[in-house]
Amino acid sequence: MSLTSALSTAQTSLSNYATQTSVISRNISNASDPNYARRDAVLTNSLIGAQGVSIQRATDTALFFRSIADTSTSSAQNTLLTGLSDLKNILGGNDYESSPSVLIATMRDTLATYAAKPAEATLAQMAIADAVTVANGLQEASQAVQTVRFEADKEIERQVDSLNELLARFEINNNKVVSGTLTGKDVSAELDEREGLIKDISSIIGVTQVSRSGNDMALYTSDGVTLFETIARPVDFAPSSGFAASVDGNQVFVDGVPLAAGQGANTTGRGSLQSLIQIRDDYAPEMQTQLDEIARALVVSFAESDQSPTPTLPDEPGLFTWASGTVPTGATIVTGIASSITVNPALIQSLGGDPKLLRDGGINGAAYSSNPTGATGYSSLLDSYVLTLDEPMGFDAAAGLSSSASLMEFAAQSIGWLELNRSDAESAAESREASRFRSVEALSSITGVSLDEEMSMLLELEQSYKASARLITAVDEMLQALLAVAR
Amino acid sequence: MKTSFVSNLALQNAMRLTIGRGQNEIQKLNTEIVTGRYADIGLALGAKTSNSVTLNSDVTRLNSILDSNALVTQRLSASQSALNMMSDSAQQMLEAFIAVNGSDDANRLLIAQRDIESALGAFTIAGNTSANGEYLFSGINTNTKPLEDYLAAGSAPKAAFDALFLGHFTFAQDDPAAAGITVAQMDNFISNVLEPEFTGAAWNTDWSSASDTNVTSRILKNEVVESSTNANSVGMRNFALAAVIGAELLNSPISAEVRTSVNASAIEYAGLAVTGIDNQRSTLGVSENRITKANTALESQLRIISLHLGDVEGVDAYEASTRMNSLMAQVETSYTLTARIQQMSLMNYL
Repeated sequence: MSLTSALSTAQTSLSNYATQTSVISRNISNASDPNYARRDAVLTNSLIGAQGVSIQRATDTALFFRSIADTSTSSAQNTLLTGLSDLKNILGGNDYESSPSVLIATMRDTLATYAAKPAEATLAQMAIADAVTVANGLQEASQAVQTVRFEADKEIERQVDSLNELLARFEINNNKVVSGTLTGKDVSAELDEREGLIKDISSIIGVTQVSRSGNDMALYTSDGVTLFETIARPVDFAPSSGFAASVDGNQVFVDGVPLAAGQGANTTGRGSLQSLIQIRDDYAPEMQTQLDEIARALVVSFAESDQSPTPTLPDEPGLFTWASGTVPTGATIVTGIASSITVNPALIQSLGGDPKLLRDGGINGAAYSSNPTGATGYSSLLDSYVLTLDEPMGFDAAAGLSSSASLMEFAAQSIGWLELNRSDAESAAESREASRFRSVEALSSITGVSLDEEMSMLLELEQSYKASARLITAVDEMLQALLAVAR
Repeated sequence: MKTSFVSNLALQNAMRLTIGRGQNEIQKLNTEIVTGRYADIGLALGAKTSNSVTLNSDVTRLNSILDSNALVTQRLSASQSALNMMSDSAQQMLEAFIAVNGSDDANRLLIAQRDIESALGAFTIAGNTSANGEYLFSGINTNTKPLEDYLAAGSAPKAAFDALFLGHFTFAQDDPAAAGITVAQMDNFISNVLEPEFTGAAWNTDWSSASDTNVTSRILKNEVVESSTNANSVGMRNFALAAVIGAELLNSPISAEVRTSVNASAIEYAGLAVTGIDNQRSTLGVSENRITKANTALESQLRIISLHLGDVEGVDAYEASTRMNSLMAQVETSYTLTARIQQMSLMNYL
C-alpha cells in the first residue's frame, strides 16, 4: 500500500460520493411525483477489488399488482355509480318530483277531486293538465335515459381512443426498456414511465401484467385477452350516432374479442370501460323497459271500451294515446311507447278538444260514451279511473319487477329497483375507493421518497466527502514533507 | 439502503381520505339535522325507497280524499237545510188542509189556498237550491234546474193539469158546472187520472228535469256514498200532488161533500209528502254520518302513515347532531395533525 494508492482510493471515493449525491438530489427533486420510484445508489466492490456505485430502483411487485387491481375495480365502481346517479337524477331529488310515480299520483289526486265535483270545467282542465305533465314526464324520462346511453357511448369512444394511445406509448416505452436492459443502461426512468402507463391503462380496463426475461412485459385484460405482447393490440369500437329504446350499442373489441359488460351493482367490471358498457346495455335499457311498461299500463288503464249492450267495437285509447294509436293487448313490453305517449288531443281544449269527454267517455265516438245524456254530476267513470290505478294488473316479467302489481306499485317499485342498485353501488364504491387508497399509500411508502431519509444520507455523504478530501490533503502534506526531505 | 417505510407523499396524503370523508359526512348530517329526513333517501333506504314513495303518495291520496269529503259534506248539509225547508212547507200545507177540513167557508178556503200556494212556492225555491254552482236536487243533472215553478205564469205543469181536468170532465175546474161532480167521479179523477201524472213518466216531462241517478262520492278508498238526492223522490211527488189539489180543487165550485173528500185525499198525500221528505233527510243523514266516520278513519290512517314515514325516512336529530359534533372534532384533529406533519422535517433542524 503506497501513498499514491491511498490518493487514488480517495479520488474514487470522491467520484462515488458525487454519483450518490446526484442520485439523492434526483430523489429529492422527484419527491412529489407519484409515479417515481426511489433510487438507491449502492456501493459495490468488483471482483478485482475496485469500488463502484450501482443504482437500484425500489420496487414491490406484489404491492404494485395490488394497487393496479384496486385502481381498476375502484374506477369501474365509480363509473357505475356516476351512471346510476345520472339515471336517478332523471327522477328528481329526494322527493322524486319528476318520477312517473309521483306525477301519476298527482294526476290521480286531481282526478279524484274532479270526481268529487264533476260539473266543474276547471277541474277537468286541471286533470288534463296533470295528465299532460305525466305524458311529458314519461317522454322526458325516456329521452333522458337514452341521453345517458348516448353519453356513455361517447365516453366509451373517448376511452377507447385514449386506451389505444396509451398502448402505443406503452409499446415505445417497453421497447426502450428492453433495449436499454440489453445494453446495460440505467432504465429506471423508463421503468417509472412504464408503471405510470400501466396505472393509466388499468383505470380504463383491468390488466394483468406478465414480466418476461430482459425486463420485457406483456399485458392481458382481466378476461385473458392480449392487450400488449411485443406489439400493441388494437381496441376497436364504432360509436352509435344516436340512441332509442330499440337501438343496441356496438361492442368494444379487444384484439377481436368482444369486451363483456360488468355484472351487478357491486360490479364485476374491471376498469371504467366495462362499467360504461354495463350502464349503456344493462341499467339504462332496463329503466327504459320499466318506463315503457308504465306508459303501456297508462294507455291500457284509461282505454275506452264499447258501451253498447252488445259490444262489438274494439277498445280504443282514452286519456292517453301513443304513436300507433291502439290499445296494446297482453302483458308484454311495447318497446319505446314511453317516448311517444301523449294525452289524447280530443281532450285538449287548445287543440279543439273537449275536456269534458274525460268525465263522460266517448272520445272515440258515441258508442264509447258512458254518460250519453251528458249529465254534469256523473262521476262513476272518473272514479273508476282513480280505482284502476290502484288495482293489480299484469306486467311483463322482463321489466325486472313484479309481474302483477297496481300501476302505482309498479312505478314505486321502479324507483326502489334503481335506488337498490345505486345504494349498493355507493357502498361498494366507498369501500373500493378506500382499499385503492390504502394500497396506493402502501406502495408509495415502499417506493416513494422520504425527504428526511435523503437528508440524513446527504449528511452522511457530506461527512464522508470531507473525510476523503481531508485524506487527500493529508497525503499531499505527507508527499510535500517527503519531497522536502529529498531536496 | 432503505431504512424507513414511509414516504413523504404517503405522509402528506395520509389524512386526505379521512378529511374528505369527514367533510362529506358533515355536509350530509347538516342537511339531515335541518330537514329531519335522510339527506339522500335512495342511498339510505335502497330497495325500501319504493315503500317511502308509496307511503308519500298514500298521504297525498288521503289528504285529497279529506279535501273532497269537505266538499261532499258541504253539499250534504246544504241539501239537509233545503230538505228541512221542504219538510216545514209540507207541514204548513198539511196544517192548512186540516184547518179547512169539513169547512165550506169561502174566506177560510181562500186563506187555505193562499197558504198552500205559498208552501208550494217555498218548496219550489228549496228544491231549486244550488250550492257551488250545482243544483242539489237534480241527481247527476247538476246543471239543470230540477223543479218547474207551478205558480209562474204559463207554467208547463199548470197547463198540463188544466188540460187533464178539461179532458176528463169536459169543463175547467173553476167552471160552475163543477158543482155537478159526484164524490165517486172526483175520487176516480184524483186516484186514477191525476195521481198517475205524478207517479208516472209525465212527472219527468211536466215537473222535474232531475235525473233519478244521484251523485256518488268516494269518501274512503273503498267506500262510495250517495251524496245528493233528487226531486223525483216519492215525498216530492206527493208534495206537488197535494199542493196541486189544494191550489186547484179545494177552492173550486164543487159540492161540500166532494170538497171533504178532496180534502181527505189531499191530507193523505200531504202526509205522504212529510214522511217521504223526512225519509230523504234520514238517507242523507246516513251519508253524513258515514263521512264523519270516514274522516275519522282517514285522519287516523294519516297519523299512522305519517308516523311510519317518520320511521322509514326520518333521522334522529339528536343522534345526528351528536355525530356531527364528534365528526367535527375528528376533522379538526385531522387538520391539526396535517399541519403538524407538514411542519415535521429534518430540514428545520439542520
